[in-house]
Amino acid sequence: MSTIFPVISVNTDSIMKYKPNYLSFTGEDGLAAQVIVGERFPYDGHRRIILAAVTNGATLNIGLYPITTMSIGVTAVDYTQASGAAETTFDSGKITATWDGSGAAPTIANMFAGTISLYFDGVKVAVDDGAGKWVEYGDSGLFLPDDTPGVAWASTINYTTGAIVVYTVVDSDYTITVSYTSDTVDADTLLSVTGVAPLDLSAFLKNAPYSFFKENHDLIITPAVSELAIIAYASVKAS
Amino acid sequence: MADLTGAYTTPVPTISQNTASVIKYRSNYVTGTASVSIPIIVGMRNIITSIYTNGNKIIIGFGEVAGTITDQRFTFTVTAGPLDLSNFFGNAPFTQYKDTDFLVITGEAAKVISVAYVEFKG
Repeated sequence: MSTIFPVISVNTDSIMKYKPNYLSFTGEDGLAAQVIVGERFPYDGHRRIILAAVTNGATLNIGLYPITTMSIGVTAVDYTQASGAAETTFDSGKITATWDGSGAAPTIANMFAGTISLYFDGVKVAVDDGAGKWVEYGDSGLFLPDDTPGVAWASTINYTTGAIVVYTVVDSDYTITVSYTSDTVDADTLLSVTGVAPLDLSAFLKNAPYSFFKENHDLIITPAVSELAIIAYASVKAS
Repeated sequence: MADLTGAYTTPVPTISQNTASVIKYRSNYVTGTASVSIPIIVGMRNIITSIYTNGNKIIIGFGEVAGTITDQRFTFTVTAGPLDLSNFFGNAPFTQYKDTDFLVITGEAAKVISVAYVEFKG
């Protein structure tokens, strides 16, 4: 998949310069074998152009990470994934579960009459990263952290390689989507800078704003662990 | 005024009203330790717009072998790194072109160099 460059006009500079958003975050201390520990912009069809960046640390990486999505469509029928069947295979990375649907407001009670279990290489995966609880074998409805439906959330899973198997018995009008973000950056899109703390990339990015965009790729900005970073970015509909 | 005998004239890119925007928003990035080499496609100029290194020097030139400069065009050294040449190249992007194999950027040994560049035909 080729990288999509933005449509350029003589007005681009003005649009980018005067529509900045700001975001401050701190590099996280990831779990073992988990590489993606920075701020993440999930793919949603919008290009985020990074216009300036400063961090207290000595490194900053910006790149696109490929995601793969598998959905279990459920429309007013029970659905059972054959036991033991692998839905898909990944190398390593991060999983996000979201849901969407129609009908009554989703709750634990009406969304999942049965159970949802997520296996990884035959072993249940259930690591709580503080953002919510991941599904565990035999659990029911744990896709709904704090009973707040409609809010996508992520749970970090510590694993290296193998297959993800989703088993589900659902009795409602909802679609469960399991997305996976690789922890291996698309090399063609990586901006990696190592310097001396504090690292100020504002001049660098002023000349060369980070503007890469690809379908089904998340944008992730990664400062050093425990180091604060702030970025300025413009969000534009991808073109 | 005619060129001096033997003078080498570096071809410069064709400039249009949109050149600045194109150069600014189509950046590629490359990072390396001690050196960075960008393969040259015939007729395609690699315009350098930003360089940052935690080392103390940057040398830019052309070469037939990755990592080795045989035709040096730019050099700058400070007492101690880091060296941020982004503002410098923001005013004067490195646009020189040579029909050879690599545009090579070298720096201090074991130090990281990050370069932003744009491929530009012309």
